[in-house]
Amino acid sequence: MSATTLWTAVAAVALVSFAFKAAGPAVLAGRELPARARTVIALLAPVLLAAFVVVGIAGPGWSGLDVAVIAGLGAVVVLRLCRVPLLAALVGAVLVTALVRAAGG
Amino acid sequence: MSDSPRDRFRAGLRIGAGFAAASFLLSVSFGAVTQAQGWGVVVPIVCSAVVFSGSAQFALVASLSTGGLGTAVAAAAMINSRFLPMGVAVAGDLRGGRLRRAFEGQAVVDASWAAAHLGGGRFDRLLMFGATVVQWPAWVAGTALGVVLAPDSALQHTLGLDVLAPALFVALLLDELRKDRANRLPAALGAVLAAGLIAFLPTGLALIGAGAAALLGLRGGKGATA
Repeated sequence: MSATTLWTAVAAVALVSFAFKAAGPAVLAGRELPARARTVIALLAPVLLAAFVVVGIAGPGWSGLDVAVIAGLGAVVVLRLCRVPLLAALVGAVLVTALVRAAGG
Repeated sequence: MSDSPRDRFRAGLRIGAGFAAASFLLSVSFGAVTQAQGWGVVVPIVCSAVVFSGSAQFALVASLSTGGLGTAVAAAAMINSRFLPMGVAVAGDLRGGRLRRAFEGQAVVDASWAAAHLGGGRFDRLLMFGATVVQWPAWVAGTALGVVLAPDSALQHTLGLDVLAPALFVALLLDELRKDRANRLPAALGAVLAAGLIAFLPTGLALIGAGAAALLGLRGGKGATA
């Protein structure tokens, strides 16, 4: 892969990301959206996070399914419900995933 | 919010420190992956500095190794297309003219955006800035370390480091579900849609499609509770 290809790819992705993040704030400026639109937007965070989790577990074409990852994610849920701090909960998830993998050979 | 602006920014720094630790480890693996693909030393570090988006960067490395430039950029762009609705969501809480808002919108990264969500579609702008400001250096430094160490992916897999990204999202999701009961049904629908769409669509499009679950908010009467 040539250096030009690499640099072009990185520059293009950086520009596209900038534009995606800039578009909403720049176009809407200070205008308030109607109440219904705000309600939909309020739901975007939980919806997208749930989708991230599922996509992360499944992987493209459901090719990424892994018992160890699911066990690690279960550990995060339990630890966070027990009010364990975020970073400790993440470390717990990594440990559980590593242990399940070790146990599974 | 009764806290002073400085307190809110500091609260963001505190929350962001946890995200930063997680992104540091993730970016080490990004740096490492690029070495296996022959990216050299400078490109991965610059990439992390200017793109600053784990999922898009991983997609870029993976797709550049198998497909052409256009395909790779399109894959990364589709993943980052989620920043469009996310930017629309925070737009009302940013300040200044169009140009300044466009730059303030760059603070939108997944974890900061979710943590800054106060509920009811309102965002704490300064908390988001604080949370993003600590993640960026961690992301760039982790990439540099990954480039230098280049631990092989088998080792990262053995250590269970690949669970970090989804684990962070699970923790953030849990916070959203506890923040507001009205979030539960849409989140469940989003999960179901994502599960169906990821079977045949690329990641970015599956995420956008799943985002349609937020349209449940159009059901009359039940406005969001702030």
